[in-house]
This record gives sequence, C-alpha cells and structure tokens, in this order.
Amino acid sequence: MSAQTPPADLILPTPVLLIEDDTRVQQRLERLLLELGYQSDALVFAGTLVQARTCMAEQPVALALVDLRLPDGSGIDLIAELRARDPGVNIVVVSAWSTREEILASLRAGATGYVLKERDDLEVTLALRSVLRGGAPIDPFVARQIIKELPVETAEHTGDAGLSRRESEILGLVAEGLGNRDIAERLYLSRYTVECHIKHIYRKLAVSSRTQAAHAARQRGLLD
Amino acid sequence: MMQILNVQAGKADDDSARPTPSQWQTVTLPDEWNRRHPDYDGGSIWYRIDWQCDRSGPMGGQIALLVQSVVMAGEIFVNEHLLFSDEHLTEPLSRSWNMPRRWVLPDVWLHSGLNTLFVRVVGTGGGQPVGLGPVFLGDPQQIQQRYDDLRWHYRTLFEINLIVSGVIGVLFFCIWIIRRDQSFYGWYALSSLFWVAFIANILVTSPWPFPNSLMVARANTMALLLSVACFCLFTWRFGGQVVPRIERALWIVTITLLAMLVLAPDAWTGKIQRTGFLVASVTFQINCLHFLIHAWRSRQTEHALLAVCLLVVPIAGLHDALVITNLIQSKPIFPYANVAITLSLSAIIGLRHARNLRRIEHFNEELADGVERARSELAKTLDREYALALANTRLNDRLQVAHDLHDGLGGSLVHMMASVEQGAGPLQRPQVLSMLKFIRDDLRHTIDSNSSAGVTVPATPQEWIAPLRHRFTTLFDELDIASEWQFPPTWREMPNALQYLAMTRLVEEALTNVIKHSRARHVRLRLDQPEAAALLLRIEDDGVGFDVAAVRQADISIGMRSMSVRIARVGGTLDVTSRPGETVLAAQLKLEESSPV
Repeated sequence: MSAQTPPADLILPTPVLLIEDDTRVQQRLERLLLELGYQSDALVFAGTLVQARTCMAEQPVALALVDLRLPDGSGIDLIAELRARDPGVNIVVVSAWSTREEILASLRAGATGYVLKERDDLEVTLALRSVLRGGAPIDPFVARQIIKELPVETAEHTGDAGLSRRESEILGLVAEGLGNRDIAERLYLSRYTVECHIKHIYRKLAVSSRTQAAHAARQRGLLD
Repeated sequence: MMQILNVQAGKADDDSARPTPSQWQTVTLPDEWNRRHPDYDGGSIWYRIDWQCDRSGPMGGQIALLVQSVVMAGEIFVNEHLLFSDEHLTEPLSRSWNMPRRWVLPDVWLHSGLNTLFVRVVGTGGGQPVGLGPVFLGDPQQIQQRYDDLRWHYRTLFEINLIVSGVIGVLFFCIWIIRRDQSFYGWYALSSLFWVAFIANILVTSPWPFPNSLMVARANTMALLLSVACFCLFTWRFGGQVVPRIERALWIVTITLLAMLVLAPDAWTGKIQRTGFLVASVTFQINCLHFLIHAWRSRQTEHALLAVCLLVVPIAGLHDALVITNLIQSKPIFPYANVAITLSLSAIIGLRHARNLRRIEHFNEELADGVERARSELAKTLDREYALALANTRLNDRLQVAHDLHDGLGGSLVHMMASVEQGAGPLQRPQVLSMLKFIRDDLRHTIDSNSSAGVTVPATPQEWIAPLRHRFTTLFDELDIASEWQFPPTWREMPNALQYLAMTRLVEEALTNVIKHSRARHVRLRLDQPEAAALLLRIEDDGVGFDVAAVRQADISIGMRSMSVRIARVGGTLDVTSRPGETVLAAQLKLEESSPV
C-alpha cells in the first residue's frame, strides 16, 4: 500500500517521546514510526508520567505521542506541561477507548492532534503523517464543538482567540463530513493548507481555553 | 311620736264584710296567717292596726306609712279612707308579696290620738302564703330611708340577680351552640335561665302569663327544680365526673316532682311546693359539698376554684336560714352571694374556655410541627426511593450491557469459535486478525451505544453520516478510491436508536471490507426513503467482488453474516450480490411510524 512507503516530503522532527504504558502498543507505535522513516535512536519511550518528565528534563522533545490513561495519572496534565515548555512542539494524543470529552480536553490543553489506538494501522499512520506534514487530524464532532466554542472573527474583532472566516468555513465542511481533499477542492486550497488551518484552529482553542481559565481564576480572586 | 298600740287580724264569715269584734285576734307583724290556719282556702283576711298619733313633731306633723309586703294582694284603709288597692283582688291576683310601698298620709284623714289602719289581704289558698309584712309609721324622711333600704333588698338586688343570670345564661348558651362537644356550657346556660325564671317570681306583680297564683307557684317550683338539676349536671360535666346512677336518680326525682306539680290537685300544691324547695335545696347543697371532695381528689385548679365558689352557697344558705328564723339579726346575704357566685362561675368557665383555646392554638403548633416532621420524613423516603430507583436503573443498564455483550459480541465469538473449530485448513494470521478486529468494532459499538446514556439518533441523515464519511473519505483519499455519498437532507421518518446503530455498523463494516479486500476504485453510498416507513441503504463498489455463497461459508465472511443477523434483528433485510466489478449491499429497513405530534 502506498501509505507504507516512506514519503519523501516528510520532515521528521526528532526526538520523539512516546508515552505509553502497554509495551505491545508501544511496539506497534514504534513499528509505525519506523515505517514512516524514523530511526530507532530518535525514539524515546516512557511508561509513566514520572518517566516522561525525566525524559523531558533530559532533552527537549520535538514530537510527543501521549497516552491519556497512565498508571500514575492523566496524560492531559503532561500535555499542558509540554505545551507550556515549548509552543512549537507537536503533541499527538494516542487514546484507547477515550471519550470525545477527553479528546477535547487534551486539545484544549494544547494537543496538536489525536489518534485512536483501536483503529487500524492505516488510520493511525495517516493521522501521524498529517501531524508530521504540519497539519492536524480532526473529525466532525470535534469540528462542531470548536464551532460552538470559538467566536468567528469579524472586521472589528480580531485577535488570536477568534476563528478566521476561512477557518470557520473549513470547520463547517469538516462537520458536514467532507474529507480534506474535498474541502481543498471546494475552497481552492491545497490539502496541506487545509491541514495547517486545522492546526491553527487547535492552537486557538488552546489559547482560548487558557485565556478563559485565567479569566475565571481572576474572577475568583486566584490571580491578581 | 307614732306608736303602734295593737295589731289584730281576723277573718270574717262574709268575705265582703269586716270581722266582727269576736273574730279579731291579736297578732304580731309580720304575720303569716296560713301558719296558724293551714286550712285557709282563699278569701279576705283583715288586719287592724291601732296607733297613737302625736302631731306635735318637728316636721309639721306629716306622717308617712310604709308597708313592706301584702301577701298576695290587698287594700289599705286609713281611718275608713281607702288609701290603696291592688289592681286585682280576685284571680288572677295581683302580687304585692314582695313590693314595699310607702305613702305620706293626708293630714285631714288623721285624728289626734288613736287612729286605725285596716288592711284587707287576699290570698289564694292551697297552702300558699297569706299575711301581712311589717308596717311602719313615722315621719316621711325616716320612712323614705327605710323604704329605699327595703326596695334595695327586696327588689333591686333581685333585679341585679336576674339580669346577671340572664345575660350569662344567654352568653353561655351561645358558646354552647358553637362548642356542642363541651356540654357543660349548655347545662350552665340552662341552669342560669331556669334560675332567671325562678327569680322572676319574686319580682313580677301579676301572674301573667299564668292564669292564677297557684299556677305561678307550680311553675316557679318547676323552674327551681330544673335549675338545680341542670346545675348538678354542669358541675359533673365540668369536673369530668361520671356518675350515671346518681344522674339517673336525680332525673327520676326531678321528673317525679315535676309530674306531681303538674298533676296534683290545688289543695296539695303548697305541700308539694315545699317538698320541691326542700329537695332542690338539699340536692344543691349536697352537690356543692360533693364537688368539694371531687376537687380535693382531682387537684385541678379550676375544680378547686369552682369548689370554693360553691362552698359559699351552703354558708350563705345557713346564714340566711338563721336570719329568717330570727336566730341572728341581719339581712339575708344570699342575693349578694348569688351574684358573686354567678360572676365567679362565669370567670371559671371563661378560664376553662381560654385554656381550651390555648390548647387549640398549641395543638395547631403541634400540628404544624407534625406536618413538618411528616414532610421531612416523606422527603427522606422519597430520596431513598429515588436512590433505589437510581440503583435499579443502573442495575438495568448493566443488565442491558450484559445482554448487548451476549447478543452482539457473544454471538460473534460463538460463531468464530465454531469457524475455527470446523475450519479445514490451518488458521491464517490475517483471518485471526480480522476476527479480532471485528470483535473490537463490536465492542466499541456496545460501549458507544451504552456509554452515551440514551442514544439519540442524529437529526438529519447528513449529520448521521458525517463522522463515517469524514473518516472513510480520509482513508479513500489516501488509497485513491473515489467515493460518492448521496444522503437526503432530512429524515421523512426517523429510524429508532437500534436501527441507527445497526446501520452505522453496517456502513463501517462494508467500507472496511471495501478497503481491505475489494481493490475497488469507486465506492458509492446512497440512502433513500421512498416512503416514510422505509429506508433503503445501498453500498456499491467496483472491486473484484466475491462469491457470495462461498464467502458465506468462509471464515472471512463473519462480518457480513453477522451484519445480516443484526439488520434482521431491527426489522430489516440485507441483500448481498457480488460479481467482479460490481458488489452491492442493499439494506432495507422498516421504520415504525411515530404518531404525528
């Protein structure tokens, strides 16, 4: 299959931190990453939050695959820490049986994308490739949720928090169920541009969540 | 000044004439003729009062006369001049027996020296009193004072008695009408009202509404008897004493006496009357003393107060008896005592009434408390029931999950186990993998359909297919498979949750098969609702196709077979046709028509 041949256009950020407590799944993800063109020495493994933090302290990470349910806590906290440390890091949630609320929570914490462990190799690989290309996976449910949460930027109202018109168009089409290729054709864009937009949208979601959290904290008198 | 020399009384043979000199006999005033002549049976009694007039007084010699009572009616002559005559000297007789009167005697009628006062008294016989009360002569000022004094004692006091008893009787009668359960109010009211009737006898000056004096006497005695009986009942009810035998005896005695008063011949009236008075007085006194004992035992404040109050009755009675029998020189105190007692009794009953009211108010508070308590208990019970219902629901949900697992996952597992067991060749890795993946997808579905409590069917077919479409389009794009999705914008009739889940699973399974096995270049999905109650889902691809019959036997077909069963379970059919270049899955679902709202 075409997906299994390493594409030439991929820039592979290193090192990769893989946080996953199930060794079998760890091995599976490792295999998929190797298929994508990674070298073994670029991959760092952690089975718990503690191990992950140790790894993070030793060297900066370029890409992190984070399982949400770890033996010593929730991966969502780790995502927030990673994002706070490096705004440019790619964070992919690797979730098993996770609910959509958990995915949304990790996106708000700063995740760049997510894949479901239960899906076949092909789907997981596609999601990872999308991230490596500078894009971000999405689905109609997440799109609808973001449309609800983020305001659309108007001529008067501009800033980081609002969605641009193009972004909101893209989200609308995702919510309808269109794939990225169809969306690109409809909007006369390249697929990569569409994916980049989605990544930007996620960033705005995280910023908006942080702003809201700070705002809420200020209102409750927790911050000055 | 004035000096009464001699008082004589006599009864003439001829009623219109005065007694002859031989018939006069000397008496002292007050005189009760009937005591000395028990056989008196009506007619005139004459009193002759000789007195010495000394006209050299400081007042210019004016002389006044005071007659305390004439029993029953009569005429007064001063030296043959008629001074006064009652209105009726024959039945119905006027009643002057308790009516003090005074006059200033005209000078011209009087002589210096001996003067004579003749009083003709008319009685009714039948044992009734007849006679003349005290007579006073003197200067008008002294007489006026004496008259005022008598008037107070013999009229005004009784008027006060009558008014007090009457008002209180009516008051308690009204209270009793409102509080029927508190019968002592009623008995007290009756007693008071009969007492009023009894007292009225002292004050009235004519027999009306009765035809004659004997009838008045009978009625009067009846009133007293009834008043006393009612009073006894009042004390028993008030004190909470249950004395059925005594009560019955009381009524028997009372009714007997009443009947006797109604039926007895005129000649016996006096005796029965006296018996009645005696019985009434004795009963009353005994009752008063009895209540004293009861109050002593019951130790209740109200009872004690009433007992003290009633104790006054025998004491006043004793005092007055001594006064009447001239053993002590005093005025009767009973009329005062009676007013005091009446007012005190009313105060005590009022106290009881107030206490009852307080108790009712208190009861209201208790009731409010009780209601509050009951309400909180009810709330607690409801909470408990709610918790129980919740637990039940959870249990049911769990059972439902278990059922779903058994029916879906369990069925697939059994089928796969049978396939593995009966399979001819060695088990290939891809086969095992596909089986496990199928189970995984099933499990995902079971979890999804149970975790989101109460699956809601998406509002439109577009919304339903959007997640599947997005997910598979991304895959198709990658594999260069063109896909076409034709879904109507609205449901004509919504499928139910189970049908929706089954269709979702079918699309997922069908498209997974296309990706894995078909090598198709084009896929087309189409949903139609030709009529409201029918749903057609058609999935076509131009892949290599498969031998439907053969594949059914093969291990790989587990997914498809399972799908057929699943669609059938929600009221539909699944047709699968396949040949190289064209594979068609056509699911047909029958929808339940919901009643239009």
